[in-house]
Amino acid sequence: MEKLDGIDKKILRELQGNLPIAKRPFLEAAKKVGIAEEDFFSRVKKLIEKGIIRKFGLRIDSRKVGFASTLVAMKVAKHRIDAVAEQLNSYESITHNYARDHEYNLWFTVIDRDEKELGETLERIKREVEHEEMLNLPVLRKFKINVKFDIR
Amino acid sequence: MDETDREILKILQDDIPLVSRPFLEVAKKFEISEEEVIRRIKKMMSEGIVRRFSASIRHRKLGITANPLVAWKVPERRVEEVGEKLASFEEVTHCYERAIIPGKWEYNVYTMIHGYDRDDVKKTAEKLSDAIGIKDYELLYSSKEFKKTYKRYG
Repeated sequence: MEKLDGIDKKILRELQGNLPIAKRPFLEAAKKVGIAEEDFFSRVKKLIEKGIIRKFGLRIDSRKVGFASTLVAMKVAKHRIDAVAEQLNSYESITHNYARDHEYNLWFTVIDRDEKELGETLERIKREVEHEEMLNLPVLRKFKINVKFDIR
Repeated sequence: MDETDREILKILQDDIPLVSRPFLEVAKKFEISEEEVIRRIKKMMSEGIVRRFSASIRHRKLGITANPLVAWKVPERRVEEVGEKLASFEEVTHCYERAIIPGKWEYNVYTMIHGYDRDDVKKTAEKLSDAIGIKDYELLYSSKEFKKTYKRYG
């Protein structure tokens, strides 16, 4: 676990919010943290180098630009979970892939350019990946997406 | 959306230039004005194409290691109300209704919650359960992250 000082924590809290689309978008965040813009940049760069910030930019609504996605729950033999996960990771369309403590033990998201491509990818997975069961759980309604953590 | 909008998204989806006036840098690249870049992004924001301008954090590195997907079994007529209610909690980062597979998998509402340990999130889940009056739910803890990337636009 990374040890961060109070200033880094404040920076992360600010950057999780929505920054203004303005000529100097970082000015207010730096002010709130209580440091100069220059220090703000060097700290953010370090947080990126340390891998704490994954990316920093515009978040796009993938559905609004036409992408199609789904969540898949898969049941695989316990002893094969690592091998299956590795095989799934090789699909470019799979963006998130987790082992979860459940009878359905692999959960992954698949995202493609459109519904047709997504359907084809799911067919390929069904065919190529050895599994016991596979549930396709597409979104019907979106209530919220706002990833903001309680940074202590 | 035109070609310039798409190019702006392609560049700014990953890493914003860490300089005082990042949109000026982008503007120079496309030989348009800084004002125009700002106007275009604001327009895409009002259309919902751009959700936010923010950083995404590898929360596991900060000790936020309990990250269950919580699957709720909600009666069809209550989905809208329950979904809105769950979404209103700060601890909930994602909330969706998803398709069911009748007879096999009938959980229809999903939330992601995050915490520093399992006790922490268990309490959150109980709080949510009380708030919506639904007892039928599953905490699906992730025991391993095999992959986490994102689909690049463009």
